[in-house]
Formats: sequence, C-alpha cells, structure tokens
Amino acid sequence: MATRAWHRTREAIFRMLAYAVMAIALFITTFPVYWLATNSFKLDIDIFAVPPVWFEFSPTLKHYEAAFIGQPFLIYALNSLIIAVATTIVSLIFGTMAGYALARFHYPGRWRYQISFWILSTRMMPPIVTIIPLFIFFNFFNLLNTRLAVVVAYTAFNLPFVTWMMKSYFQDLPPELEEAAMVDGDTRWGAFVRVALPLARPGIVATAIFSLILAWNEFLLALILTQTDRSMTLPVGISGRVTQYTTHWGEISAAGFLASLPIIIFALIVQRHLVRGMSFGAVKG
Amino acid sequence: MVRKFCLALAVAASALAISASAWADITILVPSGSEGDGLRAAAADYAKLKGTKVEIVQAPYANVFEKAANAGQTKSGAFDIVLMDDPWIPFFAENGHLENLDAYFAKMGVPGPDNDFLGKSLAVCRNPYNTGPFVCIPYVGNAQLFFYDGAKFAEAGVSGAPATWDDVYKAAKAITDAGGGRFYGYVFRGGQGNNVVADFMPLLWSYGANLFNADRTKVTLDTKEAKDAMTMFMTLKGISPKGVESFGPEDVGRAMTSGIAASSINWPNWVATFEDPSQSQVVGKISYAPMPAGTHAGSSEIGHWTMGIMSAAKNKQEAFDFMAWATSPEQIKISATRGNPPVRFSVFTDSELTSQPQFRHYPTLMQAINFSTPRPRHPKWPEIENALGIELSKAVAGTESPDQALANAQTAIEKIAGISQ
Repeated sequence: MATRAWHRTREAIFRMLAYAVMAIALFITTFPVYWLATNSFKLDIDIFAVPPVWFEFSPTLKHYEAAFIGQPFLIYALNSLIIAVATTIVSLIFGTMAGYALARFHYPGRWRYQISFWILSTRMMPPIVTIIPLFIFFNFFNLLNTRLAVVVAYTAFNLPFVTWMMKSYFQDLPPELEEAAMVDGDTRWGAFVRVALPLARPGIVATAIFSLILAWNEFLLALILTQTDRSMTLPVGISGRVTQYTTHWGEISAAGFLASLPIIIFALIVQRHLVRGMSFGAVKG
Repeated sequence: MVRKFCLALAVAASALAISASAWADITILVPSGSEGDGLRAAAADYAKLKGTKVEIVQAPYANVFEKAANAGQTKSGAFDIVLMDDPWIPFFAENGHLENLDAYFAKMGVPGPDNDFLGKSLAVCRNPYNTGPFVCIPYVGNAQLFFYDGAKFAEAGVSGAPATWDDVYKAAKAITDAGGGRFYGYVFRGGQGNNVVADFMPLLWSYGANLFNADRTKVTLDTKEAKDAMTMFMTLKGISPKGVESFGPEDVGRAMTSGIAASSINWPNWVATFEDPSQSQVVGKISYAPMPAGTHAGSSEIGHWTMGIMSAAKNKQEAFDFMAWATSPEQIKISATRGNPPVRFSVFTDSELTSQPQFRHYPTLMQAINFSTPRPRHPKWPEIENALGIELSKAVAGTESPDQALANAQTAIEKIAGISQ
C-alpha cells in the first residue's frame, strides 16, 4: 500500500518536473517572439524604458507604417519570397533526381560513397570563401544585383543538403515497388515519377521547408550580391535600419515579426507532412 | 485548391526570379539613415517631376565606403552618384574616382555652387580642402553640437552654455556625484573606430592640438597640447557611465533621451529624437551649444554628407542635373523637414522653420558649422581613424595608459601615412 502511494507521489513529482521543464522551454522559445511582436507595437520611449515595459504600453502602428510605407520592405519581402520559392523548386528538381540516382543506381567500388561525400563536402566550407569568385562570376555575366544571381548562388548551397536528404528518403523506400512497375513495362523514369516520387512526398515536403527556411533567412550572400530594391531581400533590408547614428528597433521589430510569419504559416500548413517526413528519413531498417 | 495555388506561386516565382527589370537612368549610393532616406524621397520626387528613373542603393555606413571604393577601383560604373561622408572625399578624389565638377558648373554658366551655401560646407567639397576644384556638392550640413540639460547644469553651478571643458567637468562631476550610480553628468562614445575618434577630436582641437602638422609631414600626437586634451578626455571618462568604452551613438543618444546622462557631444540628427515625446523623456529640456573651449577656442567636427559623381558613371550629365536640383534652396528646405540639417544660409534662417521647436538649434548649428574643423584631409583617413580609434578605446577601457595610447597611435599613424620619424 505504502509502495503504491510512494509510486503515485513519485509519478506526480516527475510529471510536475516534466511540466516545469516544458514551461521553461516554452518560455525560452516564445519569449523572443513575444518581445519582437510587442516591440513592433511600442513607441520608442517604451522600447527603451528602464525598467522594461512588459504589458502596459500605448500600442502604435507607426513602425509598420515606417517600414512598409516609408521604407520598401514590401518589395524586399516580395524579393525574398520569389528567391526562396525559386531556390526551393530548382534545388528540389535537381536534388531529388540526384538523391534518387545515389540511392538506386549501381556504382563500381566505393564510388557511391565518394560522390556522396564530394557533394556533401561543398557544404563544409564557409560560404564567405566563395564570395569573391561568385562576385566576379556574376559580374562577368552582368547578373549582379539580380534575383537570378541570388537564386543560382542559393541553389548551389542548398543542392547538397537536398540531395543528401532525398537520398536518405529514397534509400528507405523498398526498391521492389519500382521494380514491380518496371516488370510491368514502365521505364526507370516512369517508376521514379509515378512510384518513387509520390511515396517520397513527405520527405520532399520536409526538405522543401528546410530549403525554404535556409533561402528565406540567408544574409551574407544576399548582402554581397544584391544592391538595390530590385533584388534586395528582407534580411539585408532589415540590417539597413542599423544606421550611423541610431538603430531603428521599432522598424526592425515590425519587419522581423512579419518576416517570420510566412515561414510559420507554411510550416503549419505542411506540419503533417513535415513530422512524417522527418521521422521517415531517420528510420533505418 | 492549395496544390494549384502552390504550383502557380512556384511558376510565378521562378519566372520572376529570372526576369530582369530595366536599368535606371541614375543610380545613387546612399547610407542607411536619415541622409539616405531623405535623398531616396527626393529621388522619388525627381522621378515624378522629370520622368527620370532614379535607383537608390542604400547600405549601412561602413558598406557605403566599401561599395563606392570597389566601384571606383573596378570602374564598374555601378553608381552614378555617391553620397559621401566628407572625410572620404580625399580618398575618392585623389584616387581619381570622382569627377571634377568645374566643367559642369561652367556648362550651367556659373563658376561653382552659389554663395547661399555656407563657406565651410563648400570648403569640404573642394579637393584639396578649400582650394582645389569642386568634386562634390554639399547636401547634409552636419557638425557636432554640445547637448546638455540646462536645468541640471544650472543646479550644478554652471548657468547657460558651458564655455569651457572645465565648466563641463565641474557641472558633470556634481551631477554624477549626486546621481548615486543612476545619473551621470557626461556620456560619450567610447567604442572603437569612428565612435571614440569622433568624440575625441573636438577635445584635441580645443586644446590647440591636431593629428598632423599643416603640411601633413609630421604626426603631432606627441605634443603637450595633445596630452592635455587626452587628460581632459580621460577625466570626463571618470564621471561617465560604466561600460562607456563600448558605447556607440545609440547608447549615448538613449542615455540622454532617458535622462540618465546630462550632457554629451552629438550630431544634430538626434535633435528630432530628443524633441519627440514618443521617443524622449527630456523634450524641451536639452539645450544645444557650440563646442566648449579648452586652452583654445572650441571647434566642432564637421561631418557633411556630400554628393559626388563617380568617374566611371554611365550618366554623368543626368547625375549632375539631379545633384543641382536636389541641392537647390527649395529642395534643401524640404530635406530639412525630412530630418537632414541644411547647408544653405537661407534655410538656416528660414523663419518658417526656425519658429518650430525641432529646428530651434539651427542658429547654433550654423555657428558650429562656421567654426567647425574637418577631420584631417588624408586619402588614408579611414585607416588612420581606425588605428587611432583602437588606441583611444584601449585607453578608455583602461588596458593601456593614456600616454601609451597616444604614443602607439602616433607610431601607427606614421606607418599608415608613410611618415618617417
């Protein structure tokens, strides 16, 4: 009897501890979002108030007006959207085919490993070391300050990641399904398009969202390759509000808060696929 | 439905990504901040008025110099006009990156900019300083002012504008002593680079010192005058808030707007913030004065933003036409209402502006510009400023003695400037 009571008490303590840890984790992850959102609606005097103003402040939309009417943040957001979506599509088209080839085709000796490692190795160097060659390359083709240049550069950096993720997903699919299709007269391409791709859809969605997030948030390459409103992305535009004399925290908060919304919405839409996709690729037989 | 929408979005994004819009007639490189924002707004007005496509490239302060220098060295013609901080002018002019504007003025039938521009504003646009041909036209009339809380200074025994740095120290020390670690009499930018140098130079000049001798053949930080300036600088550091060694303009401005600090050297762009109730707790309390004197007359650092045409520009005449329009009296007045200090006498004395609280510092600012000093006109100024800033910052942080910092700065600047001892 006493043992059962002790078990019950211990279980309750563990549950309380678990809730406490979850509450702390929740606070750590949501507080910056709360602070960003509230700062975007505060007057400067409240943003810099000592002690900080947590709840009681006069809300204002002046920072949104300054960012999206006074500054071309809507154009930056459109550029970011175009670049991120285009990068994701191009990366997925080539990365999916490359991943399938690495997962399915026969290679002599250790060539599968060698090619896979070579593809991954391009992610091992910091992107900054490629900036001068990229700058010269795009300047030569008169593509500096265009969205196309940014898409090409981002695709180059996203492709290894997409290839490896998709390779992992295709390796987890039983090859017998595609073989059955080919026995019934389908080609390898047909088996890939009609059998493998639909089965790998959760993986494609998960890869797409990671690729989209990488392209949406990238700063360094965009800073160098873009110069004007016609190609500048949100992260570069936001950084421009740090000026010689002051930092426009209100505008930065407004633009930052709205910049995070598309990714959050996209993640909510595809979360069912995302969870399946993440667990799918991770399980090995 | 969602699938169709995603597909349409994807196709549209891909198509837009590879489409290229038409190039502009004029491309202008500007800094982030009120100067760049003001010129961006002016460019939009100009585009509507003249039908000229003007593209603005806006970058953080340090990146403007880098981008312009890259464009100049590679002769890429990426920018037609660059909005330059005045100490950059020798670098761009002496490396052949800027057009001589004399021929453009001659084409207009005038010898140069009209006499409504302040003399000091025009002087910085000539290279060599005040004597050479015009290589730019002034646009934003910045010069440092001494900002102080008049009531607190009066309470501390200094009525009216402090005439000398000793007066500043006397009042500021009393305020700091009474502040109990919560309020301070003085605050300054102690962060490395441009920050600490900008707040040190007015003290250096007010004690009769300078970085170089007149013909730039000797670095003069080893003089008694320079050491006296450094002594006062460190004395003021002693009554400033903790952490001042990392302070930038934002920290100084916010210390003032929140009422934590009672005085500082600052740029006039901050006046609008100080006078805005949504940003400041000291509205109407801050007074603006010329730079206090040391052993010599006080002098502000001039920090004008000027427009120059890049030598490799693709549309030089269109660029000049825009510059002439943007610096006309009417446009400089509009620029003033957008938060940029003017460069024209007629705008400084325009009663429509000076009757408003946010422009009440204009008489003082015009006086400050007229008695201002430019940073040493040296093509390697950015490197020199960086070297001096590192040593001054070490002195402020206490990792180096003030004398050692001056000696090290002397050696570093001699090396950069190629001056043998």
